[in-house]
Amino acid sequence: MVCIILSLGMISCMPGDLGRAVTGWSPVVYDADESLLITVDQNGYIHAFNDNGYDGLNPAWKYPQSKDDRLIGAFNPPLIHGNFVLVTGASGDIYSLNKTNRSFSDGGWRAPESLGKDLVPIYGGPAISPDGNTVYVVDVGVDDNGNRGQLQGYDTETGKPLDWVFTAEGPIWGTPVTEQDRIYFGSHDKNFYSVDTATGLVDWSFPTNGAVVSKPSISEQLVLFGSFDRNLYAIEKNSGVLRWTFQGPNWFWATPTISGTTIYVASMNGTLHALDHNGNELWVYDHKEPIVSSPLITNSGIVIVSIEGKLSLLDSTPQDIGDSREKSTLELGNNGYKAPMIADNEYIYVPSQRDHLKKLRVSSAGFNEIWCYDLEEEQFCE
Amino acid sequence: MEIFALLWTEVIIKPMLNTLIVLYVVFFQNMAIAILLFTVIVRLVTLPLTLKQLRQMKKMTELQPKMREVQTKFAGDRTRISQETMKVYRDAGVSPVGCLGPLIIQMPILIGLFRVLIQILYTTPDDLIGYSERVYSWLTFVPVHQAVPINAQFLWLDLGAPDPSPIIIPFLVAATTFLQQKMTTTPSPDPRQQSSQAMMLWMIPIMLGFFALQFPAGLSMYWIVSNLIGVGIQYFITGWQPLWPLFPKRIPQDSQQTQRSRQRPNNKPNNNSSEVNDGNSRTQRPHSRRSRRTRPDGTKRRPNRGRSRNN
Repeated sequence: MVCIILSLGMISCMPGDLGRAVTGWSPVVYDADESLLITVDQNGYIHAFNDNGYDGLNPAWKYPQSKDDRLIGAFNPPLIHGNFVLVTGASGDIYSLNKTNRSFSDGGWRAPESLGKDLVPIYGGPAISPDGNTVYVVDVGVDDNGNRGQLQGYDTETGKPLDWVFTAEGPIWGTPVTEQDRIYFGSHDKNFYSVDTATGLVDWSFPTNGAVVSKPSISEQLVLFGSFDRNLYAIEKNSGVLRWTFQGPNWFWATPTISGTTIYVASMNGTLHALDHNGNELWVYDHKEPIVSSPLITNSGIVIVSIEGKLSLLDSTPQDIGDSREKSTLELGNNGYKAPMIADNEYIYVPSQRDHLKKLRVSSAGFNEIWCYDLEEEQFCE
Repeated sequence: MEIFALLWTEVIIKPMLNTLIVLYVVFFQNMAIAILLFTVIVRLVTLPLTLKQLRQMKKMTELQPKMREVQTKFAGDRTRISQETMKVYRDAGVSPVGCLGPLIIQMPILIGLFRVLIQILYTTPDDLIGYSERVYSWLTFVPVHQAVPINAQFLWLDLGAPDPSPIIIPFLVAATTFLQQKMTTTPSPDPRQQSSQAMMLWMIPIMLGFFALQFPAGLSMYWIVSNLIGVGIQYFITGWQPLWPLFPKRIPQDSQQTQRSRQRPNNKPNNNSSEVNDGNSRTQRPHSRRSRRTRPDGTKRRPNRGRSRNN
């Protein structure tokens, strides 16, 4: 009995909210025009760097200075819009910061305006309307009967909210995607929605048998999204009619990647599936470790990374070529690779939840590390 | 260290998580029912150990007269007392450590359940990823992959968060722990142990009730149901007798010492079986004895300690 008490005492003394302290995935965005790299570390501080390639990084700025204003953690990448970077975080804050000097001046803002109050956590990243006038944000939602996520639009210049709010029956975690006058996203209520951005009304919704947390992908006619019912769905984006489904071995969390007529989708079982535009499987590659980060298309092939940090370069040949599909593999170490990777020509940026950000050069010969930066220590990794 | 982490995940976390999820999916997608049934299963699995424990405790209770005899006979010689005590236990085929079996098993279950509840009743993407990695992929006959999102609501509770009331669940945890302890505590012949037993009888429920203020309500629910089942099992072994008196009077230590100092080595041990299960037999001693603690001038007698009292 004494042992039980001690055990319970120990777990009750765990840090944070019953050991449930939120740490973000350190997502990253790259502005190629200004060689500016912006990321949010696992504790919710925003960092901007000038990327000097082989000469490393120069820290440009960090925001905020006060612990109280940090975002707690971000799970999806910030978004660069003109001179501003839009960032959302688990604190429930939305920032529009001047990307060169982190200031709110000249059109920057912070929302919601209820500063100092407990806000509803935001796990999805921001999405911007095609005309650039509105940024859309989804949240986890808080309700007496459980969590009911909301979609809310804000004026990109002023941060003023639109006069409509869309409420789902479950939390909304995935970053929405906009196209023309529609915004597409999934919810924990097992539905996928297309909402009219002018009115906030549902254009169509599609029920699945599992929660939908992945960011959708859009092709010319289809919207593609994975669900926790282990299916990848292809829906006609204008009508909401199901075109086809593809069943995988486990949940689909990673965003499907479309390259030409081929769709690449990774499952939580660690398999990468290549599908044609009718949902027929062209080939499957077993990475053997769960994948949350989306597959990345480079000139040298397809790059995938597992949560544990197994980075692989795969041949994109549509024919089934068996084991020769794998061109190169690199163990990155320091696990927690969940946020999307990004590519800039032959270079890729690979963020780790443990605050290690790596830049690698990808060639047909494999990977070559350019630098590794530790966001928490604010110095280059060993 | 990695091997322990692997064992912990494979032997404790995964089976518990998958059992809970299967119960959740099969029984109306209600996590409260799943936790309740899970608790019943755990108690059923550990029933042989529990019964063994209870039988051992019953035997130990029956050995109390002999223990008292040992205490009296070798009063002051602690080494000899412990040697003779162990001999009595050994002769009767009782292992005092054997009683710890179910408790030791409960410990990893409790900690594991804490971790599992966090993952099942997730609030962050990381919790959910942990859930996904631990669901058996071969478990296709029950749609465990479609169980997400888990409905954690039960009455006024979010089973993944502490009781918002916040009195009811902590009180139930404390009350059922008290009952369970009261039913299963073996009275010790040693007055000092009696005193510490009495303290534990109160302290442990209070501490657990305090912990329950912070624990997910689902974990507290497991504890409450487990305690009630424990009380039920104990009832079939001993009846309700160990419960009474519910709130025994506590005798100050110095009084007990005085009483013991008055005992002579040739005193016959009290074999009255009605005292065996009580554990508070000293509360039933004649009042006249207790009254002699105090000197006529009102000052208290200094208790004799150690060997000197037998000299």
